[in-house]
Amino acid sequence: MGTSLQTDDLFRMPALGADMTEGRVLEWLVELGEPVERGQLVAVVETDKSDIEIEVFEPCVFDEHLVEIGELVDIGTPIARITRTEPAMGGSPPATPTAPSPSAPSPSAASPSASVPPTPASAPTLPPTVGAPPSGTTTSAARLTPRARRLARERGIDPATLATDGVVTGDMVAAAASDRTPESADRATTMRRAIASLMERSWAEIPHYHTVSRLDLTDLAARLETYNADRPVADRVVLAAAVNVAITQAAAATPEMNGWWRPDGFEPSASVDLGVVVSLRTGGVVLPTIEHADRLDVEQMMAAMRDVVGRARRGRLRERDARPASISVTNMGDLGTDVVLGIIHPPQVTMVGLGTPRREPAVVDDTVVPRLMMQTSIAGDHRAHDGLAAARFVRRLAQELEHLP
Amino acid sequence: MNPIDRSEAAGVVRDAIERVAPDVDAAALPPDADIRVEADLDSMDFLAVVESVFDRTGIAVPERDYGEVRTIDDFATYLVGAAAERVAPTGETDG
Repeated sequence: MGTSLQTDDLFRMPALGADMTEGRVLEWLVELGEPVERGQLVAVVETDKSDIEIEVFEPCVFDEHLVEIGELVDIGTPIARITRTEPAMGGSPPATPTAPSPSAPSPSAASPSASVPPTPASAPTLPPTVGAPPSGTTTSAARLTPRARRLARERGIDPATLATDGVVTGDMVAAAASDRTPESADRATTMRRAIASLMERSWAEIPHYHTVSRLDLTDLAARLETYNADRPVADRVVLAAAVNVAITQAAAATPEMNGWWRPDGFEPSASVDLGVVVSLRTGGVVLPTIEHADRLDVEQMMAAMRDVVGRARRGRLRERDARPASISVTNMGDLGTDVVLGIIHPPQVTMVGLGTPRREPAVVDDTVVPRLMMQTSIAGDHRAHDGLAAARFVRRLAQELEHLP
Repeated sequence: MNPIDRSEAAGVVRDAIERVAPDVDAAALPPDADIRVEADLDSMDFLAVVESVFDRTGIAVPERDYGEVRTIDDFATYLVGAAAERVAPTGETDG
């Protein structure tokens, strides 16, 4: 790319998840003509399952919107005309994420957002997640999207009270002005339909097998309690985070279970990108992805989980949350059932199911003693692997648990 | 840290629950029912409740004491006791 300014690039409706075919722009988060940094969130796109904040992968300027707000368009449809403002480094990756593009540089989820003054201590203590490191320009005040500015004016909201990560959106203003519950019934219906069609496809296409094993969490739980005792409340780690770390390590060690079933056979994944089933309080589930989960220690996993669970519950995911996972986990939590047998999220080939841990009689050294046991299931795609792989996976999982946190 | 009375403490707990679970009417929760069951809180949610209580009161309930804060009543009793201990520490102080 020899030029420093390339005009007439098109920004297209991205594919946000394997089951998305169309979407609509709900809101633009940047003004036309305003410089946009790499990783900056530029729009909110509505899909069947969630609203997703999408980002750009290169610095650019948005010149023109090509779709109406709320207009339903297929993925790949140009939704804006943009001008790239810097040459791509080494080659020319597409400026526009028309499809999940593994080569596109994605800002680190851990990069701190320093563009706004710290919020008051009473704000929710989710870790910072904004992907756009402020390069050069610093903003002293929160930026408002056009819709946010209008709503704030109309409803008499002070936007300064809303700034959490640099940009105040229309929804934030609307939420502050009133509870936006009317939307939720509609959302629940479309979400149910989306779940129905995906699960129908999974059950029709994938020859599932299931295995169940009991894992002893007694020692891990005791170690975690000690670990957490010395830490500030905000840094405590829950059992599920430790178990997820063990799952990603087991997945990395069992490559035939970590990847995707394609028309021509199994494609292993180079990394472990963990799909986490999140139940929404209003009903339904979403399955955001924790990318490169195999690189996370327990603390980082906990932060990543708080992050995606928080965003999923607010009904507002990020684009990176919607990237394809290589293996998924569903966790019944503390109040669930003893066993959960998962249904695989195609084209993945494995769903790990974690039952509610319970104190149960277990045999240790020929004596029956109470232990904290978790029934752990594997749902496997029998085209890709079989029960022996599942047994190896669970054995590895048990070994990994011994070393945590 | 000032002492707090029981109704104030219960209010803090109810506020925390509502913050974590906005769909729950915390004022309507029975004071003697298990918070996690009634408000359908998983372990991350309950940690968020504990965190929110900490932000308001400075009292960090350790995990080993979770059994003492199962209900709104128990939680309030716990907070009143912990706040009183800070005002007039018995044994060692924490500054």
